[in-house]
Amino acid sequence: MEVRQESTAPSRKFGGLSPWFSLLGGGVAWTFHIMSCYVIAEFGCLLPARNYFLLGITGVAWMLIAASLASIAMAGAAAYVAWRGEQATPDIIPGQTDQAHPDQYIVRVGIIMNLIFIFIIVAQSVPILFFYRVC
Amino acid sequence: LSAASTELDNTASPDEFETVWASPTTFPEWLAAVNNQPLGQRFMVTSFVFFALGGALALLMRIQLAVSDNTFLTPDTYNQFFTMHGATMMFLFAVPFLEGLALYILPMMIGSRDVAFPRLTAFGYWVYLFGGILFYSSFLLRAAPDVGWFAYTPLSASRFSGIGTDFWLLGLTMVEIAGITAAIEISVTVLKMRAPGMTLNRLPLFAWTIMVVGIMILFAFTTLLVATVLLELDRTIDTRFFDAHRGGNSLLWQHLFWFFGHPEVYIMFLPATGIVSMIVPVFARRPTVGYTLIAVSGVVIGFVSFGLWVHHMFATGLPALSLTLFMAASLMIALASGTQIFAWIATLWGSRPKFTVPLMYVLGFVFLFVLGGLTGVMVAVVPFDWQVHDTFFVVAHFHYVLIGGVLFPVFGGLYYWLPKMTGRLMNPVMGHVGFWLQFVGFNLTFFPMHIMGFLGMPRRVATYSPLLQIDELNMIATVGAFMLGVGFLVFLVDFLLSLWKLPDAGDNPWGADTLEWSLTSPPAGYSYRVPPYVGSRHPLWESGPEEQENIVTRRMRQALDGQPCDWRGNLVTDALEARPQAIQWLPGPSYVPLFASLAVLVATVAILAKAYILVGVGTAAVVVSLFYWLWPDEEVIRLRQRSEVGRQAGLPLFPIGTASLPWWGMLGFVAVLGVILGVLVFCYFYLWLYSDRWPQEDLPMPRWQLPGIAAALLLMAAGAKWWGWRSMSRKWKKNVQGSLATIFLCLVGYLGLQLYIQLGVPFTHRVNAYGSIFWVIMWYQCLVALVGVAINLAAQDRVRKENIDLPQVSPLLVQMSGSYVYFTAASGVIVFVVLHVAPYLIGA
Repeated sequence: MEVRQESTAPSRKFGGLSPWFSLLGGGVAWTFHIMSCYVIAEFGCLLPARNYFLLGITGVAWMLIAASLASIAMAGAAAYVAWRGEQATPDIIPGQTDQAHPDQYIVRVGIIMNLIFIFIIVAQSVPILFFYRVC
Repeated sequence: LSAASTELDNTASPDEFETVWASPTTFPEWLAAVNNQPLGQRFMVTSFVFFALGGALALLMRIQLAVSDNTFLTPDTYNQFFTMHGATMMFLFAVPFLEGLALYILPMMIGSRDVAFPRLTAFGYWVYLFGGILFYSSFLLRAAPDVGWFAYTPLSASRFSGIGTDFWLLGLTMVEIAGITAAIEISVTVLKMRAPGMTLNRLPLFAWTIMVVGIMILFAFTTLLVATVLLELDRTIDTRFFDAHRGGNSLLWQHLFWFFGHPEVYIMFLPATGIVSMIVPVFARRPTVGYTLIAVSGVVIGFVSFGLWVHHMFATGLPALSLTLFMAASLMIALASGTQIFAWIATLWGSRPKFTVPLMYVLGFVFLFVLGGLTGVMVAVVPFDWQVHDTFFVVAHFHYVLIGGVLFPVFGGLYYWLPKMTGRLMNPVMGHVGFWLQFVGFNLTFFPMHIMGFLGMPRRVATYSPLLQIDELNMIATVGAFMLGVGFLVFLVDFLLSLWKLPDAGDNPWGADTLEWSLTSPPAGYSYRVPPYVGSRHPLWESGPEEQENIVTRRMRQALDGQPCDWRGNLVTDALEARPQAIQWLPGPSYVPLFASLAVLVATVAILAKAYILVGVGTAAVVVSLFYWLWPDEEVIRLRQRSEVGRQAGLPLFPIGTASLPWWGMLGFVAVLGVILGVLVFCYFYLWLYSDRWPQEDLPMPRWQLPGIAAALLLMAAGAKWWGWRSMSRKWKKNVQGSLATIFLCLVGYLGLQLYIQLGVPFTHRVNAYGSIFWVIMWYQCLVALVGVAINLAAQDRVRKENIDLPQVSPLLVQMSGSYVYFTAASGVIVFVVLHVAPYLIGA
């Protein structure tokens, strides 16, 4: 049998925490978003922040907007890292994702997952538009 | 695979290898068993016994509800039955069964000889069994819990409910511990024990889902564990967490319970989707369409399921802003679930499927789960939820999700994998009869409940008025329930008959694609004599995977052919790429898990009996058992040092860091402690939010000077850890010892200061909710530091005994004790800031 003489040393195109960030960054961003929305809505609506207005929008809504933008930015950064990783690896042959290098697969999964999380965060932020003056 | 295996030089001693991995044959051995196969089977059999009990309770409730104004059950008995039914199905059946299935099948599926922590598996099983028995023993005392499977406060407070609630809390606390141990087990097994070549893109979808679920359980069950302990403290030693008269908050319980309760649904549902993903391609006879999308959807569900807990609280008066945010989040989970459904349909579309019994259950699942999912989207909408809240519509919805979405795949999985476990095929005719009885019976039972709910039939009420005009619908539901029960009995008879006289299954009766079907049926205790190489997502469908294998990996596997044969060893691979990293020692049969779980039972029963001295005895026995369990075994260390297999394979036998399974176990333990701290901190701020003053009533502001010094000691310990690990990597033994001694002194100093502060505060845990949360967080941190001291002493002992230039266990112990010190320091600083600084920063 012919076997290839390869080293077992990792052949990483992008290493360190990048694969993990590109995989899980969107999920972490979503977690931050839902938790911060909960805390701001539950706690903020009982605090004076609900009575502070800036440009006609309550302090609570501004905090929610900031949390949403930060979460989208984080998930976007994860998607960008994944996209950069994909640029650095060869294309996956259609229908043969199980033969791809693990790095290629991780970045592919990362791009899909981060885009889904961006969509979810945006959808979760829609209610803020209806509550920018009241809790 | 078999070709690859036979080409390798077999230098092993088969008898010794098989003896080392032998499964139990006698009763004493049975008690000491740690192998994944018998323990997985025990989990499944035990959970099915509880399933039968829970099902019997359901039938009795349906008899009561068959006609209006019925007196078959008294309201009190009815309350007990729906509590026991719900708690049984959620805690004692579904999750333990799926964990058992995973413990049995997973190692074979991913090419491993066992799971990561065999003794933990045994401990988890015994704790689960004892917890379940304790829970059901409440019937013997005529004191079954009657507060619902959710045990809402204040109904579950000691003023309004008897000892039954203590049975519920303590029995389930044991089951939660079992769940958490299995979660760590499963996650680490999938991450670290995959066969070489089984990269994430070749991981079977069942393994994907079970890995996600393992991580979910760590967060969800730990939250419930904290909640049940806090409620039990309220009931036994008069803390005030949920007592509104003394600054507590009933809604806090709902937040904690549903932060567990909603992910719990997906903890059951996701493995079921994994089963479906294994069955569909086999009987469609083609690879899964959208493998990546199904895997991604599983991970997305794992995250998003934690963001839905508030939708169980839409009727509790939360701010409208909160409701709408969580309504949006609740709708979003349908995105991921829908993706999976479409992927399975696409796999079947255009194929020529074999309509075997497993596939029939999967088709039934798709139909029922889509219905349950649609009503789920409906109740996620706040105004609709308000209309149907606490009606039978909700009962119908969650039974469609749980029976349709979980139980049908479970039965499909049983018909699919039982031939592998027993070596016998089951009767397809009986299988089809059972399926149709269950499918028709289920729909007769639960579909009318949607209509009953709309017509105003409330849930959790023992009877209803004839004026509602729903007698016919209820009678149909009762007839359907009995038909469903007969369907389950047909399965049981089929299973028993198959053991008795049905034909041998052969190794791969379905022509399936995954690794477990390459083994004999039933498989040997060690599963794989040679670790397999995986070159494809469908290793049994695509030939020649060994051609992709590099020569180094091949030599590693060759060295493990029937080796090691005097201790249990398993290949460990890296989490992302499944490259071989080490050969890990796995423990053999041991009575320690049984003793440890018995000690837990003694302590728990003693709490129930309010025999507090016995609680101390039980707790001490737990601690002694754990010490004996974790203390390194000199004989095993010598065996490993003498072993040649590491040199032949070119792999370490004493791995450290991420190559070592104990390191991952420590990570899981620290994660559990971190979640506990997070939940306690949440409780602290939640109680503060709803208090007029903080500290409550006239309690003084906390002092920060001494706690600040204590926190500084922990930071010093963290610095000493950094110094010690640096010295360890340079083999400077004296410095390592100095670092460990410094850490020890810092931790002991910290403990002393914490106790001094705790004993010096001018209030007790009884005074109000502030006193209670302060008291619990302080004791939590003391326990964290105490465990750190114990680990530090163990590390000091090993370093003293060993020459750290040689392969030994001390580097790993030093590393793990150091990692724990980092956590202790972080936890200590958080506790200091929350308890002693935040009241000054935020203001009372």
